[in-house]
Amino acid sequence: MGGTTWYLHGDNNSLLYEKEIKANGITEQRHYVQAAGMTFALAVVRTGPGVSSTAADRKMRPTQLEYFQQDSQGSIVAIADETGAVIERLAYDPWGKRRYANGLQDRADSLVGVNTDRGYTLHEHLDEVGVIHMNGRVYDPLIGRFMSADPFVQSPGNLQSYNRYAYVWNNPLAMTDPSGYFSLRKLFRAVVTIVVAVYAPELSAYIGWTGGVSAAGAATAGGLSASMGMSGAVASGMLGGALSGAVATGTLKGAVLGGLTGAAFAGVGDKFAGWENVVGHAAVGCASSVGSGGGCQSGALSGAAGSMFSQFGPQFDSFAANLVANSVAGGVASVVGGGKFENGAKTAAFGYLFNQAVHAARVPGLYTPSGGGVFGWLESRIAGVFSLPLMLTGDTPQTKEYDTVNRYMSNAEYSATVETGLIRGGRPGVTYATNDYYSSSAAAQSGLALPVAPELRVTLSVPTGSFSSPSRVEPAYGQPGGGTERTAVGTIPAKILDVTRLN
Amino acid sequence: MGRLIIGAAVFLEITDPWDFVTNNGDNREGVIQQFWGPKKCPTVVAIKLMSSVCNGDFCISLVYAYGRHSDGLVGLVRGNTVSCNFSEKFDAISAPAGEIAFLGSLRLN
Repeated sequence: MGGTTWYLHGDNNSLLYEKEIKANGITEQRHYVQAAGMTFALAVVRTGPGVSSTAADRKMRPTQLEYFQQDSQGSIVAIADETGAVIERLAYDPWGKRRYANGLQDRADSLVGVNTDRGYTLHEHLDEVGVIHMNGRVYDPLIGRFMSADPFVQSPGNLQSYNRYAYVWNNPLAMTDPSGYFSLRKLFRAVVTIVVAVYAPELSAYIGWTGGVSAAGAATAGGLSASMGMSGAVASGMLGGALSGAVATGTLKGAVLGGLTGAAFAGVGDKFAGWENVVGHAAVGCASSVGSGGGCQSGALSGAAGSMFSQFGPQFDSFAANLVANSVAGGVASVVGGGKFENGAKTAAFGYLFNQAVHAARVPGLYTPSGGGVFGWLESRIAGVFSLPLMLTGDTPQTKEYDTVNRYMSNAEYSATVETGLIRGGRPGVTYATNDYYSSSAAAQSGLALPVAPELRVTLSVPTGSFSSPSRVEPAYGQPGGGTERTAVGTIPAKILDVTRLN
Repeated sequence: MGRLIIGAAVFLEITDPWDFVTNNGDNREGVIQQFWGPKKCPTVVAIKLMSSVCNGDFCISLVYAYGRHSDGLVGLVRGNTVSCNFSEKFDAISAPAGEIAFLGSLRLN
């Protein structure tokens, strides 16, 4: 490729410094400026032939400063110069492939980084071959796979770990991979865990008990309860617990333990009340704690404390407040029993979620978002997400079925098209068309850089999606090109809308 | 990138001669012998064909492929099918008119 680049990384694979000696003799030293663990600017020092402080091209000046604006994953979405003016906007699809800043796909793979080759999750794009250098390994964002196997199995209990070419367990919106060997966004995971735990009981109860919103509903909570002879609350608790456990731990073991715990708490709530309920919660808390590798005593105390608090303690209007109060009570009880606050709080929270909340959710509308504070905000946001599919089913947007294109052709091709109803008479291979209108044969040949002069302009109606988005035509055959062209593969049915003979 | 594709086997398709006379849909296999253009984006490649392409009595076994669209031939290395202008004549920038000139596509075989 020409040129040599040295890389210097700091702790935790953070990018610090690069030195590149280019094939044209210019040496670039790139200093990545960090603060609070974030890389937010790039300072370039440049020496070599042609480098001048008065050069019009910023890339030929001796110093250059760029500020990165990043999204939540650390991907660069905009670059500002020394004055703060935006000089480049960048965008990526969820898997890291470059796309246009307005969100459109780059089907031609023509986008490249102009001011820096850093982009998706701050990794280095090798645009000439369409891959991303993630330090440890090279990643292909088009297929969402690494090009070599991960030498480490991150989590033996998670089946996703055994696809050693997969990128962040196929969850690119939640996680990033700074080293090429996979790591997690722990904070994001914690947030998702809370959301799943809060909403799983209501969701599963809702789809199972409200007259069958969907076939999937019958196959989950309702179907599960019918087939296994358990109550809807227990099935719902199991489903919610399994989801929460899976998200929280990322392991099959966590999902199974979460499912069993959720089902057990819900079952206790189904069968027992008063002090019997307290004893039942203590038993489930003990079993759950032991299953997680903790002690029975602290788990039992946490479960019992949660049950007592929810039955005999003060009750708040807000669901979130009750959840927090139960968790705190369970955490304190765990500490008293010699365990960790975190584990006790978790046990009590499970007890509350998959007992009281599940049973409350039996009656649609009884449990509603509290509407206040951080929890209220969170609940309202998630409620919006859950209601989205229902909104979509009620108002399906209209799609355009046909597209109009022009094709400049010979008389012979026109006859074949009329005869068969297919562009180019159904001949195999790629078909070219355009949205451009040329008034003469010479203009069409010039703009589309055709080897021969066309005789007709035929406007055709074709199925939407048959042709690619337009690409600019390069000069060829002595013609300047500059027009736009679209391509399609396979036989394309077409209805002739207009025919113009070209002079 | 260009160095990566020298010696690579390719599949060439005469997809759209526009005149509706040239034998459209004809396929050829070949090997890339040389490339020209910027290092990151070759614009011309020379292809040694396994069997020759003819226009009447005029036949060639070495053809030059030029990127037809503004993204050039950069997609070739990624395994994409790229649109090309083909000619038996060489020019460092764009396809010259020749005895054999057709639009087509190229991909790694």
